[in-house]
Amino acid sequence: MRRVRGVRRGVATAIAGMLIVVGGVVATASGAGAHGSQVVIDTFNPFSGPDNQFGFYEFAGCPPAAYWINKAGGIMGHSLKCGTVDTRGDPADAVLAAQKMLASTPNLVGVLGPSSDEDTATVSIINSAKVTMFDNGGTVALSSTNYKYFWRTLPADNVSGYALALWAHMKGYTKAAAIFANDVSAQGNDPGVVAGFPALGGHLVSNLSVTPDQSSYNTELQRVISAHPQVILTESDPQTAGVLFSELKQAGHLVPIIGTAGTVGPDYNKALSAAIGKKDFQKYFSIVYPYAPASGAAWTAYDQGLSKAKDEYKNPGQFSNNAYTMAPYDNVITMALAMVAAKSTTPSVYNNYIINVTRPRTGAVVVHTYAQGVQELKAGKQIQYIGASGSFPFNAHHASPGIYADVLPASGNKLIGTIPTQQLSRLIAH
Amino acid sequence: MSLLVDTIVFGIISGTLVAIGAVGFTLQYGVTNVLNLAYGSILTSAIFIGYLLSEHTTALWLLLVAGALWGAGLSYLLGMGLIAAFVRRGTNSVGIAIVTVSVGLIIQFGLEAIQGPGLLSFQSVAGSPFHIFNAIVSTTQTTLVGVAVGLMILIHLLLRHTRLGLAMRATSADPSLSRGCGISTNRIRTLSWLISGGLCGVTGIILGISVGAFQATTGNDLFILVIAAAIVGGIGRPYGAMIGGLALGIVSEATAAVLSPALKDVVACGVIVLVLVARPQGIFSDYSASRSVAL
Amino acid sequence: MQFYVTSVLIVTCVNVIAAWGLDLQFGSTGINNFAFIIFSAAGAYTAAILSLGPSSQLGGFQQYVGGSRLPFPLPIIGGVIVAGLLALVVGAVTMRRLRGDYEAVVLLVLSLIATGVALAQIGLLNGPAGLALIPKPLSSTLGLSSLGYQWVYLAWSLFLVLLVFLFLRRLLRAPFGRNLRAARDNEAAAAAVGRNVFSLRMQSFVIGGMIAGLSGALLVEFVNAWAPGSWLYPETFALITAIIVGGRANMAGVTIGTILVPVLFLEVTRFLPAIGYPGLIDALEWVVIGMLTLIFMWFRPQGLVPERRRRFAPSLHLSPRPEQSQLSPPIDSHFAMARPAPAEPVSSTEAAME
Repeated sequence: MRRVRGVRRGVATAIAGMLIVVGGVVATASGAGAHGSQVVIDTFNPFSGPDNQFGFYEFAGCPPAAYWINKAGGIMGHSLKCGTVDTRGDPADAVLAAQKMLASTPNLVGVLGPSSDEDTATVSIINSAKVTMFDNGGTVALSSTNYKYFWRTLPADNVSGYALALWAHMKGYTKAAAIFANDVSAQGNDPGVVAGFPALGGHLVSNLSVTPDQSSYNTELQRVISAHPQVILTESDPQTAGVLFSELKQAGHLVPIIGTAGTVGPDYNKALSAAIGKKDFQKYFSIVYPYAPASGAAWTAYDQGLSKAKDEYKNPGQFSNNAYTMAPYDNVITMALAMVAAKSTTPSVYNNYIINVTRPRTGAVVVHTYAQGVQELKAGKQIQYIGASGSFPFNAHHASPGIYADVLPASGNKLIGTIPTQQLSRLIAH
Repeated sequence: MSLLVDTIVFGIISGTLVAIGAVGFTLQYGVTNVLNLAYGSILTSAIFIGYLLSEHTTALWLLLVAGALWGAGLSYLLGMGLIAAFVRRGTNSVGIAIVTVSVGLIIQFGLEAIQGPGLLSFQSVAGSPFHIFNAIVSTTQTTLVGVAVGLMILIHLLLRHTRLGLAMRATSADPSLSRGCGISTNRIRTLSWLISGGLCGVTGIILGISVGAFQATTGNDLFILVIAAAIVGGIGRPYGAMIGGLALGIVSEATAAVLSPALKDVVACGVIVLVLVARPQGIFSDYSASRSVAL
Repeated sequence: MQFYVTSVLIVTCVNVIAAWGLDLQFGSTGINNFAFIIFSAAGAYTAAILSLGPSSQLGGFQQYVGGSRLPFPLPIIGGVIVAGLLALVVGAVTMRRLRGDYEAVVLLVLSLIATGVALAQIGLLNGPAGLALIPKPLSSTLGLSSLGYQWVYLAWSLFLVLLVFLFLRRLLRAPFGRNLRAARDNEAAAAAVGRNVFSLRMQSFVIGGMIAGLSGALLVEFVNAWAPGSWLYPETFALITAIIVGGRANMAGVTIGTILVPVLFLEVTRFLPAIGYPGLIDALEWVVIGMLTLIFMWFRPQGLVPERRRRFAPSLHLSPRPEQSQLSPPIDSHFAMARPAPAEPVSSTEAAME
């Protein structure tokens, strides 16, 4: 049983929101038309429920960007504010939350999100409200759609499955077992592993899909153990992982575990290290996830912005190397630069300029910070923003998946190695 | 052959956990005639207590005793405090069921509010693995099964071989007649709430150690199986609950082994529906009549 | 802004319909349907699948059984029918003479298991991700702006509220309603005067289930997404709390309760502005629901607007004297214990603990 998130209670928060909005309208009415009013970018993600870390990582990218933007005088005089909207990770809740956000947020100029928990349900709603969004989900179906206001700078889930398979192959494993929880995010990786690992000459000895939050997986694990894998490729929620790997260890068959980006986060680390012990945790566990080197002008700006925004969260250093926080940082800067280039904060106008400020082309000045970009734009130059997470060559479906093809398997946030982009694309094309 | 052994071994491991929880649930129901739907939440709260204690000690027996005391205390307050007050006020059995659900919601979401986002985890008690034929089990698992079996034997001795047990059985069967025979039904009810809560607390600790990581809903996940075992075994009957728990454990592990792990819930559902269709009156005849809550 | 107000009003309509359906069972008939939300879910899933079309057509990213693209009123009617059929099956198992609280527990277990099955069987209803991109009925035919559509949908919801209201009022005033209440208040007496109590309860259970299905279908065609997280068992208790607060077996009371419980939350959430972590308020809301139920159960079990005492003999032309009210005490609480039950057979003494 998952935690309770219900549509019906949407009413409660909905009515609460309504009254606050009424108050808000009255308040702004008196000061309407004031020059240099505020514009808002909301993080539309799960902040409660099992996937709440999605929201925290995604949101963390906004305040550093807002810091630099506001320090440079805002967006044409408008200061930028970062807001949050909790989708609770449930599509039906998210639909109401989206409607509430769109109807009750004056000066909403952009959205960070949705995540894969709710993007199939809400992308079309946000799109038809003509608000630019940068999706942080990996839902494969959205890789081939043509929503005008939909953008994505993170890889789709199937890419991450292939990366997992390739990394296992590069480490020299020939017999692997896949254990994925049966939720949509974890299952998105499965096809990539199933197709990728055998294509590399490996043998996928077991492909197990588990129901989350059971009190025991002994019988399921018996199948995995009897197949004698050298490595386990996995994604699940932390509680499930705790039970799974504690039982695997008790059975005396612990082997190296490689997790996807879905296993990043303190909860998962805590659960797993409690389940198999600190020593084995450090010895056996690693993660394959989108990677951008923590260096360069754009990253330095990002990292400084993080520490400047320390009022927003404890321990900003935890996000320094997190690609899932760098991406939204870059997304916010990109949107702001597009607004400046378009001379408008209206999404239906500036949305067309996102490609203008990111496309690699001759004659464009490469910029790494917002202030730089504004300066060059004012001087009448063409610009290409290259951010903390790299450059953004958007394709026809508004995705720039190439950037994250270098993937980092990390253990205790230490870099073990990177996966060559070319090899990965060759595997996917295979 | 090996499949059969696996199934039975793991079925017993997960079944005893359910069985001991179901005994506590059903024993108290049998005596007091109150369906305690806050049981799952009390179970979760015991995991939290165990978690707090486990930062200071790793002695298994200490955790179990603490869990039992906590569960017993909470259960006593609920049963002899809140519920008794509602019963004195004239609330009927359905009203009491709603009261216990409300208490359950308050405890569960109160714990969630305290816990915050994310989940907590026990440091796992590492045991060494050994084989029973093909099945690999650990010493921790067998210890926990041993504790559960030991408790069930104790309950059996209590019910069958002590005057107290006789009094409990008599009160369960007919409160007013027992009172007429000079049995202090109030004392018996107190005792049953305490025993039920104690077993609930122990179940919580064992569950916490087995699952490692947990959250505010963990106890209620198991509670589904506990109620199912109680229903299968005939609600109000401790021996039925023991058999029901083991049977459910083995059936669901067999499903996972032979068919598919995803079908565990479906089969549990099927078993309950079958029991209800086949013998709703037969098994539950004593409880389907309009008996009122014991005062 | 209008967009948002209409959304809230539509969801309120959905809740009122659902609460009435539950109250028919819980208030008027005395069926403790702790599984009410699964009938609502059945209606929602059916309406969704009947309007989504085959699962392969959207690139196959959602898996579900069946699937067709029926024109407007049919998916919602399908939802009502399927919920009714589910109630028929569930009722056949549970509506026998199980004791009230036992019946409640069996239904609660069914509710929990239903969620478990929907989560685990991905191919059935797309598992935890649920169904999304459910088309809005008639949206292309009407060709309205999205705001205009909101208003039309609100009108449609209000129409259904009215329809359900008229239907239930007629039903409860008819002899059927009197029989339901008679069976609820004294089953033995109702049976003794020749009423088929099982059949009465069964009819109420199925009708209530169909109303639940209607509310679910109405909701899903509005929010266009549906997942197991939307129908967990506490949702039933939110409705039960609304009924207890408002007053059982009283449609006005239930309506007030449905509107009031959320508004009470409003006061709580407003005085606790964004405290703690996201999700804290969410958890505390449920603590408040639990406490609210306890408080009302203790101080005012009959609810804010108690069930009206119906007089079938208009007036006996007697001055109201205390004795009269003793002869037929007003039904002030459904949670009051029955008068001492007749002595039970002693023969089961030993069997009970075996």
